[in-house]
Amino acid sequence: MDLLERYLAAVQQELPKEKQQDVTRELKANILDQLDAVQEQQPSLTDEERIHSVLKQLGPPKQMAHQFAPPSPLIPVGLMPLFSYTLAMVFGILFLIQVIQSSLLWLGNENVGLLLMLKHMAGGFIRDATFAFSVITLGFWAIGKEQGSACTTATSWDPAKLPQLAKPWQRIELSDIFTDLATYLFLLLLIWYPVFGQNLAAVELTLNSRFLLQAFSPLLLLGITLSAWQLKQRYWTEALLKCNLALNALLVTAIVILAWTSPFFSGVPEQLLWLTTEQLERSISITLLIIALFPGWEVIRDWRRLQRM
Amino acid sequence: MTTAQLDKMRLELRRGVLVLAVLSSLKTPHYGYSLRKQLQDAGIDIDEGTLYPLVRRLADQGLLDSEWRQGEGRERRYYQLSEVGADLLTQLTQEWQQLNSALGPLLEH
Repeated sequence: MDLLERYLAAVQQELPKEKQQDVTRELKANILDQLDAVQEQQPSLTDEERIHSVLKQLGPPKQMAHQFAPPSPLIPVGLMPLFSYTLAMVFGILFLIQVIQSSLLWLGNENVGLLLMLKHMAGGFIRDATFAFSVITLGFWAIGKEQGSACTTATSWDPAKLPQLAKPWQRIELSDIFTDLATYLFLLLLIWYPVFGQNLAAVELTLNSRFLLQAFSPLLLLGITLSAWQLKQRYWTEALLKCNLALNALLVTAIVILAWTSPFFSGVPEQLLWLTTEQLERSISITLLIIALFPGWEVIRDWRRLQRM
Repeated sequence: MTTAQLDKMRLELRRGVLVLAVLSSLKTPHYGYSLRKQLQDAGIDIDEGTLYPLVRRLADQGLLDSEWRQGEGRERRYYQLSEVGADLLTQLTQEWQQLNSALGPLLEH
């Protein structure tokens, strides 16, 4: 009987407090009945062997306890889509905040290099995201507790309002939207920081190139607006595609104009003294032309998509 | 199809039917082991680890009434269909008969 008591104690340990006494009392009564039945069927078995055989058949104590009191998930299944969406949105916003903070740190401090900025950004994002994850999970756990097992099904929805998604590519990933937003914000900070923040002595642009860069700001603001639109409506429509195509075409034009602007720097930065002015200007032009290929590719992609719509 | 897949599907198929079988068997009072024996004699084999928690869940939902009784020098918990359980059983039986008559011709094809 020692084995039986040990089994019951192990089951009891896995049960919620309010069920412990009642369930183990009933389980014991059932097991005793089974033991009687085994004795009738197999009289040659010893007491220990009978108990062993019956308990083996019942399964491990944890499994038995979970059958009586199934563990409930931290987040109810009905809330999971909203939970995932909230997490994705909050992570995206935290990423943008980190991009802004780290860029300001990098631009405002000569001792902070690009690698240190990336490290600061990654570290800050992981710290904030961990905190946000804990808070959101606890929040949804509390909502789940409040709602109980009641599943709220929306009945007042209109099929006519379903998005017009005919092609798989029409769906826009949240990660793409936030990457675009982060890029536009970073570029805006890069362009305007010298005006409002400390000017870095290491990078001295000519008045002409600085003016051109600042003149591109409306394009970046347009990009941010388009991304915000995509956050609201997460699929490509003809209008959105046309706007994106126009924006990228303007970006290509702007970058190419910048690439042709010479001189770009008023002097060779200290860190790049091993280059001649001519080599530096040429490298910048080539780099800008390569950068222009990205929005250029999007122009071709969106054009082809518009033809197929 | 693998044995694991077959086991999983059998389990899903049996899950709803077992509730019907248990509710139907508890028109007369039974304790855990006697209920299992009755089901087994009727050709429905169900292991104890599934049956006992299932009976308790049905009782928690108010479909079964229960009471502790002394007998043969031992206490046992007896379960019997409650009024709510009896209503539900009637509806589930109709549902089962409709499904069964619809499925029969389909399965013969």
